[in-house]
Amino acid sequence: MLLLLTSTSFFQVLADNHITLEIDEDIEIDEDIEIDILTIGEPSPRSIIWFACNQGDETAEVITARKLASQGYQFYFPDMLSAHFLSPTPSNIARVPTAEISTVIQHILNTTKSEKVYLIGGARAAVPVLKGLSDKKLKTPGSKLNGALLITPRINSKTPEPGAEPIYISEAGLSTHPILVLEGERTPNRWGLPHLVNILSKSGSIVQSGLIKGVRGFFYLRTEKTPEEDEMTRNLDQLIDSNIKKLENIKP
Amino acid sequence: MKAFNIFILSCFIALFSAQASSASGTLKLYKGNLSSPEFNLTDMQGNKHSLSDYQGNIVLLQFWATYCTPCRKEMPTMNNLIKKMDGKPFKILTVNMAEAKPDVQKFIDQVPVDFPVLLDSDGAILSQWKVFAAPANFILDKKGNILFTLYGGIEWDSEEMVKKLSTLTSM
Repeated sequence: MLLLLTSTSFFQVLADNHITLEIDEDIEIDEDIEIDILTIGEPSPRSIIWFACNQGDETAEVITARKLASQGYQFYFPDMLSAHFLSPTPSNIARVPTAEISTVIQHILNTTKSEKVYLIGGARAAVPVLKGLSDKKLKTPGSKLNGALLITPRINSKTPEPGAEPIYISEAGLSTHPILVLEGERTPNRWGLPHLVNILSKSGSIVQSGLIKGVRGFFYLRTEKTPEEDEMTRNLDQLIDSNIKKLENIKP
Repeated sequence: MKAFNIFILSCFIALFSAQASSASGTLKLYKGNLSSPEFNLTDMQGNKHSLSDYQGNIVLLQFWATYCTPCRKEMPTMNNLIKKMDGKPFKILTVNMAEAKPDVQKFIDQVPVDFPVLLDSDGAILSQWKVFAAPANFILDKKGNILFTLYGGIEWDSEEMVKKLSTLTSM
């Protein structure tokens, strides 16, 4: 039984004087499991559920969402970690149970006014995205769920070994939704893209991939960014926008 | 004599892999299917290198990139390793991971190296060797077969590593 516990709305005034509507709501998805979901932006044609490794007001993800809120996007940031008293680290985000992720996605699909909903996950936070996509309950025909964007995904289940193809989490390859994978140009993981695309396509997903010029993996999460990574982080909104539109054109 | 050498090598590998499994950043017995794919690549000076040219030596083959922090840190220890292995049939070959030559040169200007840096401009060799992380290291026997792998940076000039590699060269 899913219960809405609290919901608080407020307006955020941005540096450029834009104002975004933000809603903070708590939902109870199970006994003792309460998930906080931050919504940024008004109801829009497209909604994005962004699974993030970190939480907070000044993260690149939230800053990006505020920029895109006036451009036809509404963002949902579920905090999957606090309910388990887990600190916001890449390894912890990968530990969240599939059932909880699936319930949260289903709740947003049921309540959003958007016609199309996309998932985004970067680095290790690509794991909850793939866990969500693997759930049969979210594969119903006519679902608003339209696909996923994975930004420099790190979904290995084991440490990579030279001379062997990467081994991914078991949920990789269980999706039927379109997936777009973006990888940094300056990371060895780019050479694994053909293998990753192949694995992710196994259950019917149409998967496309591309490189992000001049950056290393999970560039926007790095504390010490190169000038190129700094610039790409500032322009993360453009990267998201153009690639969500690209994802939109991938026909199952 | 040959059978004795094979026996010693087997014992050595067993001991080696037992040690490797208990710690990260150590050599790991290679259990894959690659039989060290041949390559012909050009180094920074324009010289051509075929992997088969190095048969008869124990070879440390490393794939690396300029953006890889552990690579930068461990390269001086690889220079030291060459000095410590002087006189033994041991070579280091490195392959840059498809970066532009000027970028590689800039790195080498900052971190001078005493071993060949080969350029795999289109990443074709990386794919053949199934390299998806940096640094990715392979230890090849004198026939060019892959004996061990190692992912991540280490101090190559440590007493332990020099001892292990020296033992391999004597087989």
